[in-house]
Amino acid sequence: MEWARVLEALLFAATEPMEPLRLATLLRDGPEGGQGWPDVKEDEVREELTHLGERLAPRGLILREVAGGFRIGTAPDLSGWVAKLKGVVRPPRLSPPALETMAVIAYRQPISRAEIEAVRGVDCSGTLDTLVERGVIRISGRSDAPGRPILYSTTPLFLEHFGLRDLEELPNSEELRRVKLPTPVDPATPQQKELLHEAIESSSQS
Amino acid sequence: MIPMLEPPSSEALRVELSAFTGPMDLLLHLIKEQEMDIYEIRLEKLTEQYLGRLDKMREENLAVAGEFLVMAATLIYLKSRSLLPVQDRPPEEVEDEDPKWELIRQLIEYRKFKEAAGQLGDREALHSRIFGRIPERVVVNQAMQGPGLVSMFDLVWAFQKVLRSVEDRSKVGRFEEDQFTVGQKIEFLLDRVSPGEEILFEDLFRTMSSRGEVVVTFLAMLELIRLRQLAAVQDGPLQPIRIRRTPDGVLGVPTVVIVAEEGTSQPSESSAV
Repeated sequence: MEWARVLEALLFAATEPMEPLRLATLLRDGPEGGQGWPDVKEDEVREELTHLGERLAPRGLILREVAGGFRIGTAPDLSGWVAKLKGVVRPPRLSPPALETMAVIAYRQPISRAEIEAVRGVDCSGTLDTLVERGVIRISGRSDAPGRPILYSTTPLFLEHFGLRDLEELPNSEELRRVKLPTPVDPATPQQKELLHEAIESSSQS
Repeated sequence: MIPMLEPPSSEALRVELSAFTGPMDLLLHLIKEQEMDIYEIRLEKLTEQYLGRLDKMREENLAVAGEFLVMAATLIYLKSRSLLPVQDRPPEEVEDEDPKWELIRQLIEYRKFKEAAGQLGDREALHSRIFGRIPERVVVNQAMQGPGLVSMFDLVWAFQKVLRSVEDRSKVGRFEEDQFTVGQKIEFLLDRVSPGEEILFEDLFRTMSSRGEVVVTFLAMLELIRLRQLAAVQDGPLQPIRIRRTPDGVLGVPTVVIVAEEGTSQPSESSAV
């Protein structure tokens, strides 16, 4: 494609994930006062992005599909070099309690603090503040439950931080979204015991 | 150098304590350590182990978080309950299912999310090693605009930014709005910024949570600028706007001119003080 170079330049200069539709629009509209390619289709952009990713693979850069768009980054195995250039000692990572809270929100959003605490069995106000501050979660509304508690959801930065295309890409999302949170199961009868047994077994296999 | 006052052992213990993210985590660890089937947990053994851990923490003068104690109470209750023959249980409980199942269900559920957290952590470990471009500071030709001058457009733009942030805040919860007056806010501004001093434009609005209050305060500010009591100053394009109070005794002498755009020669008249 004659516009492949333009695509590469746009992705290199971008500071956020670029959606294929946005890239196609930029290519169609052309530069300020110049001519674009009015027939470029989103599918063609997507295809070219795959080629670009393949071309970059043996090099020092990678093309990732994160948070609904595409983004150029440095290859992970070169992180030591780049970190030294940037004066970063250690990449900022979340603590185990923050990751647990993050996981509950990711799978069960929108969710209130009380619901998260019911799963984790600990006070989560501190970790919630940290996650909001880091920009990976946000307050997304209020629940209709008594007291109208605040609800938390993930942000696009969450997807980028964990290298996820979308929420569907979360591991075991099917199952973890199904897990009943507030209503207790009653496995008192042998039959129900059996069912619970199965549930445990299937979860440990996956 | 300041000598190390803490005995080295306390550091190791803190690691031991922080190894568990909560009582559920500790319970799962003990179940695994005892090679118990989560579904066939032996309450007596588990309670004993759990309390043993808490005692160890307390012996070392470590503050045991309340949640760990709540779980201890739950375990003791469940254990004592399981020792009672069914006919001796309090009548209101006979109907209920064994509350042990509630704990087991919680543990299973928690374990799933803990595993998911581990997987997220792995992803984070990989992706935190990928660096992307971050937005850089926009370099604008300084000659575009003389330093010190703030155009009406800049001021309105800054005001809109403040309004937006207030809207974000008020999404969280809206109370009945108080009635604010321009006169009241003029007093507030004069009180807030002493003569000859200055404050960041955004900082003036930081404590305000309603749109009405921000609008009235902005009107009061425009009024004071018109009266040459305040001036809006900026070091250059895109720099933060500061609001400066005219020093006492130089009333009527403008330190900075508000550059009025054509057709808007004066900020609109607001209600008189």
